[in-house]
Amino acid sequence: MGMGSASPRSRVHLSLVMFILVVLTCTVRTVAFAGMPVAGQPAPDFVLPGLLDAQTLSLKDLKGNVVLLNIWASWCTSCKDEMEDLLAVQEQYGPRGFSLVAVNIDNAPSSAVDFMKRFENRSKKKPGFILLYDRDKKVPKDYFQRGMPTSYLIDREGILRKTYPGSFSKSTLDTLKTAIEEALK
Amino acid sequence: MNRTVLCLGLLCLIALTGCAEKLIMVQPYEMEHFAQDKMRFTPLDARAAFEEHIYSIREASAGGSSGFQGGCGCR
Repeated sequence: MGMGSASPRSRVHLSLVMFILVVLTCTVRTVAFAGMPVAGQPAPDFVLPGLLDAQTLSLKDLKGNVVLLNIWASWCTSCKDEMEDLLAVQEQYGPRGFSLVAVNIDNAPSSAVDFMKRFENRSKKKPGFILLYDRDKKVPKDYFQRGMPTSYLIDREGILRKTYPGSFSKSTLDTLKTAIEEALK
Repeated sequence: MNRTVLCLGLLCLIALTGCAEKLIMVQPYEMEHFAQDKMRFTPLDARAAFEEHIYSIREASAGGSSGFQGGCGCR
């Protein structure tokens, strides 16, 4: 039976069903991504232990600082590659109230600790940024992380300013520095 | 009756489609096991790079191979 032979009542029913389907699809997607932090809204708080020590730290503790939250893992090559650039950013802006918070999400922290030790030996200095460990992957879940690595710029008030999916290249690093400069004003 | 069942079936299908990404997609932070060396298509880096090069010339396309890690989704 084609649409041409359908009665007006059937057509109304069909339209209604289609309308409900569209509304439902949109609603389900909205619910699935509800709570996703967007620029201009408060960044989700977290309380995590250190990667190299047991001292816990929360995002609230860093209020008053511009924070770059970097989610990384030792199995992610590009995460490790950008570490040196991020260290340079920390050294450049740290004295002005900038904190780089690197949250490791490895299943077991040992390989991340090994990497950081090798990184220290190679760069011949201690990483001047904050290293945290998130075993339950709560931070990437709360922030709806869309790629490895991802960095989030959070201003002095704890408001999410920008999201940087993927590792930093030369050009995106310049964009990041400009954004940090603006946030530090 | 049949129409009602059909409509309900369609509703469920659409609802599941809407949730699909959340339900079945491996999130980037869950890809630790995919990033292991044993997940590569070929154990030899040089060979993988060579094959990818040939493939990209022959097919005028690139990507989708495991030349760089197993598939951790890293950029």
